[in-house]
Amino acid sequence: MIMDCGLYFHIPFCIKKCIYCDFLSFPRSSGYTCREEEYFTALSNEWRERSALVTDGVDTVYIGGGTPSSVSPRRIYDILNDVRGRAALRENAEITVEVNPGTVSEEHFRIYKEAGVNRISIGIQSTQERLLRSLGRIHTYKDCEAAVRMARNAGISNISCDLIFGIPSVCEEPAQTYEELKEDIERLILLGVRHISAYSIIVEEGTPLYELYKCGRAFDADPDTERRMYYYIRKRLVKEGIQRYEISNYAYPGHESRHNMKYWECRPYLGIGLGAASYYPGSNDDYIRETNTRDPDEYMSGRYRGETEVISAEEQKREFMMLGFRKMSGPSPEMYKERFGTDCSDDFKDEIRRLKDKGLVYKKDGSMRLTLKGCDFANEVFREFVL
Amino acid sequence: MAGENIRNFCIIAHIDHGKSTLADRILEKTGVLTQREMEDQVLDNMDIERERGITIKAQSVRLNYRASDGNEYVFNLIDTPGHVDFNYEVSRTLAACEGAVLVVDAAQGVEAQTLANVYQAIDHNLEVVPVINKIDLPAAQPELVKKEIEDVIGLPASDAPLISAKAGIGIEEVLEQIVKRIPPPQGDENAPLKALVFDSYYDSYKGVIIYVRVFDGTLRKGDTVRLMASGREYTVTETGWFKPGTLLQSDILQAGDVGYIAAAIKNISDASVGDTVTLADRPASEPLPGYKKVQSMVFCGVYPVDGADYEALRDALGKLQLNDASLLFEPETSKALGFGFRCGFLGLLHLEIIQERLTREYNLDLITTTPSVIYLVRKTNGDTVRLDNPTNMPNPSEIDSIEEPVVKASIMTPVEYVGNIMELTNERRGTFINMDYIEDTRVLMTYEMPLNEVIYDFFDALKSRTRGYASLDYEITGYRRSNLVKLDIYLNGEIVDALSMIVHADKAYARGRKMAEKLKDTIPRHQFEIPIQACIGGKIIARETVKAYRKDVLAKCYGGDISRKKKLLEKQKEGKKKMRRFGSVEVPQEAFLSVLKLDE
Repeated sequence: MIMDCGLYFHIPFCIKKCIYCDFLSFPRSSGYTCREEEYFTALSNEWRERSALVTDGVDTVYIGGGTPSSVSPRRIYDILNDVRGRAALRENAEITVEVNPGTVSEEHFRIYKEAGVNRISIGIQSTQERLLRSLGRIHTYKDCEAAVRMARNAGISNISCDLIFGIPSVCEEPAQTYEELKEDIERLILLGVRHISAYSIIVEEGTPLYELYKCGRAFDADPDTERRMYYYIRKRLVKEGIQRYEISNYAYPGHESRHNMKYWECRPYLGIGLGAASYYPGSNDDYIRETNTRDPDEYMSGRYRGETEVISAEEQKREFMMLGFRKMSGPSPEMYKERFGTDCSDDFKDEIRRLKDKGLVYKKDGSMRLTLKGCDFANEVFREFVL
Repeated sequence: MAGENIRNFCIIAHIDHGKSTLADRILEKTGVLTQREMEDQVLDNMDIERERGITIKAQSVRLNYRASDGNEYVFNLIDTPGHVDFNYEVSRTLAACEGAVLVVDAAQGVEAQTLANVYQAIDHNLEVVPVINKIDLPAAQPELVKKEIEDVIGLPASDAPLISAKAGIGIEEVLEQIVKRIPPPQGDENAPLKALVFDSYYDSYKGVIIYVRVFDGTLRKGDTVRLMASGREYTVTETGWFKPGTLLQSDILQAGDVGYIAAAIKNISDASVGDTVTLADRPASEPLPGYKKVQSMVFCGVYPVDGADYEALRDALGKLQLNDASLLFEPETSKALGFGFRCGFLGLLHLEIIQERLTREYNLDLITTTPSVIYLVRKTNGDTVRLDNPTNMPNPSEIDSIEEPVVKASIMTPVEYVGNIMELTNERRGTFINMDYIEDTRVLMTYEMPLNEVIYDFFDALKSRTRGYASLDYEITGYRRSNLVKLDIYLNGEIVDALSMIVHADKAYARGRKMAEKLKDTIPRHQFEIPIQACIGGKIIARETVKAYRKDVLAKCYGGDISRKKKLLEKQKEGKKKMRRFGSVEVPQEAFLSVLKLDE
């Protein structure tokens, strides 16, 4: 029984892996792209199996990757058709597709539009050519501008851009400067996008960037500069009326990502595709979290499921707090009460007191939220809510 | 005489000369174990012993051997530790035996510990049977080694068996010589019972298991025995002999036997090693000469990371102490670490092993403070303080002088490393006493050295500077006045008493700098900057800074990440629990360990 379901489809294909990428994705060179057909068949089959869980309509769909735009836009069209065929896709549903500016054409957006896509998330990452190169991106900033224009021309105006800051020095290419970041922000404002995700770079184990760090060919940007960038982004965007609504996400009011909000508000969603995760009510008060296999061969042979966790009500409460604190409005006391029947301020009295004492959270408009310091040390807040 | 067919013996050797391997072969030859059942070095049954290839605990086993004279003999073989730290265990074992098989490596010859062990054996009036091992090595020079044994030790070695324990060569001859040369036990089975406690351990079902060597009298299951030192009496619930890895019940132990007693003894301190067991209704008039009380040489504080584990730690130390009388402990408190124990050890290896056993066998997370020896502080008011914890150092204005324990260190080495050794001993404040040529190519160097220079890593340094050829033995000879100061460490302006140490004034600067550097590398970044200072008498001699970190935040967290990120946060939280807070600074366990190994 899932009400107002969020659907995520994972497209694990891309042209080329970026050096920082730890997503489940196969570049052309991996040889898996020739099994595209097979993958989409498996994806469709999994959705067919899963769709039985959706009883009361789908109100967000997010097609991510990988690079969904690296496969034919027809594939996206087919997925959305498939969604409509098996579940009630709401009229006002938010339907997002992630694109890489280096892989799109007018045709892409035309077909996306036709398929019902109404939100585009563009992986711009930087507006500086040298940094795009050092990150291993396949596009230029010009491509980004063109992608935004093409999306609009096709009639999709709800556009989000991803930005990375704190870009390290990689193989002799110097780290991102504060001035460069400022220019990125100005350009995004000028582009008039509705939503911006700005991530401080994360060096994940197993990525080429991680290896470069290990062998001393990559170095962190100056930590003070990285934080100044973070503060600047907020200050500058807020001045434009683009509010920070999550640690790394900014939007004009009303343009927050409805799909992503589900993750932070612990509302149900189904993840279809390689490595995708689902979260939905189970028996009694339990919730189920399932993570699909990360092995493509296993997935394509129909063994979709990897790990299954049963999340007890107690654990849901902790996750609700932990994820809720990612939002600038904090975990919603009303939603908490409605879902669990208790007050979060009672259930987590000690945790909240400790965090308050450390100056990491404060109370505003009836809810607890991160202070500015809390945004810098949010993990310390999150850790209070894990066991 | 009932004991006519019994032979009680041990095997002594310098470390790595093949003692445990020979023990294994003897077990195999006497049919206690088939070759298939043999796991290498059966008598080393602690994991740590096998991993490190050393024997820590003395182990006992009873074997039957049909000799070439057609008679059946009972062998009680007691394996002994080889490392210099565990000499104490050796002397306990020797007291239970009539003879010792001396294993000498055919390639390496007589080493420092060979000498030390043989002299100990001779002191205990043991018959020493030399055996030349590893004759199958290409570098073996058995004839030369025989001569060395005769010249250096003064033992006849012309008919010493030439063996290879590893390849199983010559084992039969060793067994024959044990029969012929080691005397049977003396003693009267009708006299009042006198049995020497030479080891013990705690069994959760049977209570304390006491290892005894019966010198006089007879002991039966059901007898009421008295432990002469503690005066406590118990009813014997079980007696028996040792089989590899197990016990074999036998209802009687007689003069000459080596075996065990279980008597539902709950309190581990009531059955101390060295005590004499006698019968309550017919006691012996005099106890057997016990052991010299063990001298702990190295002390450090041992603290549970989680204060709630204090009782568990006490329990674990108590149990280990039963197996290991050389471990001392008493409660102490540290401002920085809370409640814990001051423990005394034979040496640094002993310390490491105890720490490892507490962690592994008892699942305790521990912090150990900087090891110290016992200093004698002469105060201006005429008092003398025995100082085993630097924290308790009196105010400098009250100190007249400080004395530190010194050892006589005997180092045996091929001539070509003499220069290296002089350099090393010089660095460690050694005073040269003497150098003897044992043969043309090898010398015995004698130094007087401060114990606190020997305990840290002198042995490792010696091995590395002589490519492993030098061997070391040392004994405490007394105290020497020395220019010593207390080195303190401050974290974020607060003294961490657990890291205080006493060092020679000349070395204080270097040590302080090193410690500050090591701490800088092991203390994680905090939200604020942490100054690390090394001070002597309030004067800062070194300073390092752990820079503040600017953020600790997962930038991204979406559906697919939640499970993984949550696990990461859980792991971090677990890690934080294992840290110790000093004021607002969290210090991981490794920080305390790293300062012990400053020379790495």
